[in-house]
Amino acid sequence: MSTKNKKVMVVGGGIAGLTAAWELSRFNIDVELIEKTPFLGGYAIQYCCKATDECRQCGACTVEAMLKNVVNEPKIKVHLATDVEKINNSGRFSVDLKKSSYQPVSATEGVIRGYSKNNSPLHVIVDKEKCEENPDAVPEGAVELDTMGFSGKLDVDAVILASGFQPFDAEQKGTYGYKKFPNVVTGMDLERIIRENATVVRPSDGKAAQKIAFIQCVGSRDENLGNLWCSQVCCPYALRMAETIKHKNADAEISIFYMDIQNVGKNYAEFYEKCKTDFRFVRNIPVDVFPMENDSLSMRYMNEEDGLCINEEFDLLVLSVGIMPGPDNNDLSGIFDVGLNEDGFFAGIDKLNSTSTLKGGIFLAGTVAGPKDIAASMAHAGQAASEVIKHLGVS
Amino acid sequence: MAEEAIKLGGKRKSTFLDKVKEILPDGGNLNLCLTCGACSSGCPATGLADMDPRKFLRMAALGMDEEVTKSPWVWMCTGCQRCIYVCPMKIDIPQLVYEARATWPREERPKGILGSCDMALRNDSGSAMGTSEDDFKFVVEDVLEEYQEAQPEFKDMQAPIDKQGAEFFLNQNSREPVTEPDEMPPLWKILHLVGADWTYGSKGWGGENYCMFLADNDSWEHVTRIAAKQADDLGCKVFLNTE
Ligand SMILES: Cc1cc2nc3c(=O)[nH]c(=O)nc-3n(C[C@H](O)[C@H](O)[C@H](O)COP(=O)(O)OP(=O)(O)OC[C@H]3O[C@@H](n4cnc5c(N)ncnc54)[C@H](O)[C@@H]3O)c2cc1C
Ligand code: SF4
Ligand code: SF4
Ligand code: SF4
Ligand code: SF4
Repeated sequence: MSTKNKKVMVVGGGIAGLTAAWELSRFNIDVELIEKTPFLGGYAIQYCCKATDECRQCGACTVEAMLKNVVNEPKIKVHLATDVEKINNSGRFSVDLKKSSYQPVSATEGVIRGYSKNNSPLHVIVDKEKCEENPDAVPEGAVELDTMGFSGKLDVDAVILASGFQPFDAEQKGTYGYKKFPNVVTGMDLERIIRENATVVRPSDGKAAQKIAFIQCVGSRDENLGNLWCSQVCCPYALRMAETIKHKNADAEISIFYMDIQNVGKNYAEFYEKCKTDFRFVRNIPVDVFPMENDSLSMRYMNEEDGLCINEEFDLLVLSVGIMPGPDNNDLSGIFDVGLNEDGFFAGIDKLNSTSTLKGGIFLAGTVAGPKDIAASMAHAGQAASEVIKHLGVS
Repeated sequence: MAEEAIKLGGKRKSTFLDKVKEILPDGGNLNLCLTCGACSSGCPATGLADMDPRKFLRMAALGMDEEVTKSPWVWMCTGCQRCIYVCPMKIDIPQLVYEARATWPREERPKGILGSCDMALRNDSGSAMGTSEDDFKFVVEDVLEEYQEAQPEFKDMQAPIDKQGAEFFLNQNSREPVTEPDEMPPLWKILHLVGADWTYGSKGWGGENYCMFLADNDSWEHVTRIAAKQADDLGCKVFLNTE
């Protein structure tokens, strides 16, 4: 069968969606890539490089490379700031798209910025009035959010859902004081802090943090929250970021509070041994955090050696938040008529076939179907693309 | 012989954990422990008697029934339930502690709690001080009169005992009428100001229940039933437990 006129819609422009789109384009398939925010790249484009004197294989730079591939590929048509409204299935899928209802959380100066030089546009005006007050501050080439987004119809032969995840909202674990105490941050915040400052600074005063604690499993493996899964990525990102910090500042004292540590990539055994000499591992999840002078934080936890509770002060507390089902999963499940599993992620047919759904022609890629790191999301997206190709009878 | 190691029997003999699981709703999640230690971080009894809630649960899970149930630590747990609140797996450690207490021969349980429970069983007041109905009545009336006179804005305030048909049945820590009678009126004042129709009971007014802390189920039930029956007999709709 010829590939002529075969067209696939990919929903979500994170690393999974980008990879799926790219793989499909390799088979000469036309791709319509729908992204609800004004920027491609998803969460993974926001991460810092975690190389020390060697590459730590965190995968962050592969996202940049894939983004570049996609924006330069004419067979992939990108619709930024766009949502799927409705879909009709009668052989082909007829899709109604609409301008996205996306609202940025914060925008000083009225402009938000993408994370990569391959984001086009790189600057998006979200508050026109603010920009008119100070027109010199508006970067060249900035585009108004109102003018972005696509409303209209598309006909496609298959759909890949790659709408991703959301990081755990750490405010739900109230005793840690996230958003109450400035120097309690999440792993996601820390990625951005290191990316922007090339090192780790305290949000309260911009000074380098000397004594740092990571608390693992925040939001994951927690029956109280109904989240029984291990998020798989938070041990690796925490240990890699901790090594990055230590590499820049050999005097930094880093403690990791954990239940048990998950595998961190191929050279895990060696890497973990190094971590054990560089950081203090405490097998205990602290519960109470109190603010101290100087915006430092005091934490109470049980000391393993003598079983007594101790209070210890830290400059910075990092909550290793995990991977939660995407915020739009319920809506998308309704629109596409594809079920979610009991955890709230999209359900594949079975473990061995986690990219196909019970609905023919609709496939899953990346964290939309459960926790994965960047490499696993890319592999999953590649698998989804090959399932689509089989489904369309293209070769 | 070198240092004595913890020895586990060849055959899995844990009956204690299994027994407790049987009586807890959903097994109390007792076999879901992640060994994270969050319970021990927050527990006020961590480190006492060389024990903490995680260690306690782990030892129970390993079938160390003797060591677990015999540890004096079971009497140091305050029953505050902080551990359940912070446990990612909602594990009910205090109930495990309670069942461990219940394995102790009654007369070997801590004197203070034992004595207070026995005291409460002496008459129908439920009072761990053994205060009689008449003494309670006398103190309440005396204190009320004093306040009505000294504070004219509360001259109409009441502190009824056995008022038939009152909406609220109120109990009272029995140490207060005996040693700190002035601790009672603040609550009366609040109830007076909001216009609540309430009463004490001549029976079952003692609010503390040491038989519960003693893990003596029958006595706990006995003391509770007296108070509940009195509230029912008076036709009260709401039982206000102040303890
Ligand atoms: C704190 C943290 C640190 C991490 N660090 C690392 C690391 O160092 N290395 C690593 O390998 N992995 C890391 N991960 C995991 C990594 O983030 C994920 O593997 C990766 O982002 C998954 O990509 P995705 O495309 O599935 O999802 P996402 O990144 O969530 O992308 C989904 C995209 O879909 C869009 N979208 C959502 N809903 C809709 C909709 N309804 N319509 C249209 N578009 C929609 C979103 O805007 C987004 O652009 C980390 C995770 C966390 C939480
Ligand atoms: S550490 Fe990560 S971002 Fe840096 S080079 Fe290696 S894979 Fe790329
Ligand atoms: S990856 Fe590590 S921190 Fe994350 S949920 Fe799993 S065990 Fe916890
Ligand atoms: S209930 Fe007992 S074990 Fe649990 S936190 Fe309170 S004192 Fe500790
Ligand atoms: S908090 Fe719960 S899961 Fe963690 S060690 Fe204690 S009992 Fe086990």
